[in-house]
Amino acid sequence: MPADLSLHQEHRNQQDAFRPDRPADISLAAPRRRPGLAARFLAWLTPGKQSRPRRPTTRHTGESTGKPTRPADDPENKDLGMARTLISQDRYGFVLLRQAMGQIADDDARAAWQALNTQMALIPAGSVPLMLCDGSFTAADLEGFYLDHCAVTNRQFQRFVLSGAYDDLQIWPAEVWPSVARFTDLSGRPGPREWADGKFPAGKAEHPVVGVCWYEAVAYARWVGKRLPTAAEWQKAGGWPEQLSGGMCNRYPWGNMFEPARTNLSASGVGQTTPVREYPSGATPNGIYQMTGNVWEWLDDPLETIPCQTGEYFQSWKPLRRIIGGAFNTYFPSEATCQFVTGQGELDRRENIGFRCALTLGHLRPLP
Amino acid sequence: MSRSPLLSEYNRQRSDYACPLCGGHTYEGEPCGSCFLPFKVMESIRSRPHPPRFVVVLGPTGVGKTVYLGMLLDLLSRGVGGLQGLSRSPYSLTLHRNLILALQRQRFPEKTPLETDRWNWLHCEILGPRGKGAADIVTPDVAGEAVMSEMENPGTNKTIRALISRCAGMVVLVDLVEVVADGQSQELFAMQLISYLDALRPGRKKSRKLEVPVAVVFTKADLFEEWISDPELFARGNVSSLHAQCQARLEQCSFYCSGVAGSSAKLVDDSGQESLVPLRVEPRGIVEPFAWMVSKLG
Repeated sequence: MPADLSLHQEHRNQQDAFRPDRPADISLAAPRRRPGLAARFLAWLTPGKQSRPRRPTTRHTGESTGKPTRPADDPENKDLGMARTLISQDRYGFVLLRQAMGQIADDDARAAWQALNTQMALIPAGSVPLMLCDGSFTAADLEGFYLDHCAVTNRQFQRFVLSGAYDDLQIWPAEVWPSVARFTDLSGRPGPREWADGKFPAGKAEHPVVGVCWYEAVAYARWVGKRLPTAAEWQKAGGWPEQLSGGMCNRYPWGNMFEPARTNLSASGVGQTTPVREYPSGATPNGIYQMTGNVWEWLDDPLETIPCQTGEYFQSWKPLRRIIGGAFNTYFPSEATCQFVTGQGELDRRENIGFRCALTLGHLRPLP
Repeated sequence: MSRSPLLSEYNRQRSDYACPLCGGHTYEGEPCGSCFLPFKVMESIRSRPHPPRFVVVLGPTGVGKTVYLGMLLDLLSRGVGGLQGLSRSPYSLTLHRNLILALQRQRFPEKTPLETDRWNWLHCEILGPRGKGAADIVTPDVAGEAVMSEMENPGTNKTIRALISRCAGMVVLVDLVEVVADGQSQELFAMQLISYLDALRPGRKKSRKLEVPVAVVFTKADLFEEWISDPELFARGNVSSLHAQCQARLEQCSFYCSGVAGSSAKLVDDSGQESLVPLRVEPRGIVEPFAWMVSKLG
């Protein structure tokens, strides 16, 4: 075992002594081969293979009750059915997995498709022009995919927190295990940095969750059966390239001219996050909100360079991931375009960075 | 006999106005012979009904004086923080323009040249919250080396000396990264500046503190994961000698943190030279020290 992992194990073992709610079957003694969440859910969807206790959230309100709550795989949820429970938690991505077709009833699949169509927008397959760091363009061909209409909210993220996901290392990439224990809120409990006592700030249920690092965003996306979008996908969804008019992307979801009334940037004067469904006039034609403004959003891509001149090379002190879209305190509107290249440290938990999720169309079962 | 087209020591046209910074004699079209205040600045000051307040923004090389001043100008021009700044002459916009053009290319501006006559000056009319004129502010973007040189050998840079001896307020910039990384050099430099300010204001009773308002601003705070919510507490714990000196010698002193880039990285060129680059612009803590100082100017 690597030295850092053994140290981490020792640290977590000490912590476990004070955490009676931590599942007893998670051991860091030897990182064993993990089947992945999709396989795990396939197993759960098969009768007789349910497993561990968890702490999910109060449905609908998302407010913490302070009491242990029911997880998706809690035996008490059997009356609702596993698939329906997953759908009620916005985890319909698992129900719609092509591999799960044989285990999901058609009614459940229809309900999952309905949930998906309510919360996500389809971006058809096609080509998108990407600018390279030397200023030239290259065309990227994309599969069709779905993108969340809105950034993930505090209310949605609270389900993830209350499910005990911060204690379930299976959904975290192995390289971040030593850091997961530090992903705490103001009171030292697992959760986004700006929260306290495991609860989001009052009145901000529908605001985008912020104060989460790239790994927390990835873990949430995995937990709901989705993934983070790529920069090319973001550009295609927000830039809305039309092949009949040259195939170039718009700078903003509504066009090429900046209009402060359509978004929440520094120029709009709001100075803080707003609910994710505000600024409908700034949405894309297929109803994706706030692809410009309110909060920066994590992308899947690493930040490897920014536009450089000949003979210049980009370096960073730590691994960076791309973020996009601009936030309430973004000073230059030109930094909030669908093409702007910037990034943030993977472990940084800033008050102006959130995320939304994507799903590849080809991984989903057809509508029954 | 025709008049010589060349001006000499004997036929230069002497101005009717004294230098607004040092009070020395001036000649039309020329910088002040004593403190080297540029003629364009004197001309701009003469066009105003009231004499301006000189404010200095000082700190060592690389601390971020140009970025701080340029960003301040941009924010003031947008009326951020309850203050509106109106540039009183075109040269004031040079610094502003250079910074914004650089930041938009995800770069920081070039280093300020050492030569006094190549410094950018700004002359800005500051309007208060109700649109009333609060003050005219004049300040140069000085080279850090010139400040260092004046600290080490007082009198070698007459502009810096004149500014420190006549300024109505001082902003002392301290590089937060260096404070955290390698200890005392930034702190000692700031202490030198305050001592020098004190030394150039003689005539006070021994027990009286210096009345010039001094804002100590920790720059590059954006490079840290957590924003420092209480800069004075930070100062007390991390630059304790500077904090104690401010308490002992200054009547009005306040501590701030500032940052311009939301995130930074570096570029390396073929020769191995490294330069810091801003990955995006999210200014914070820029106007606050200035607004505090303007409020103290009366």
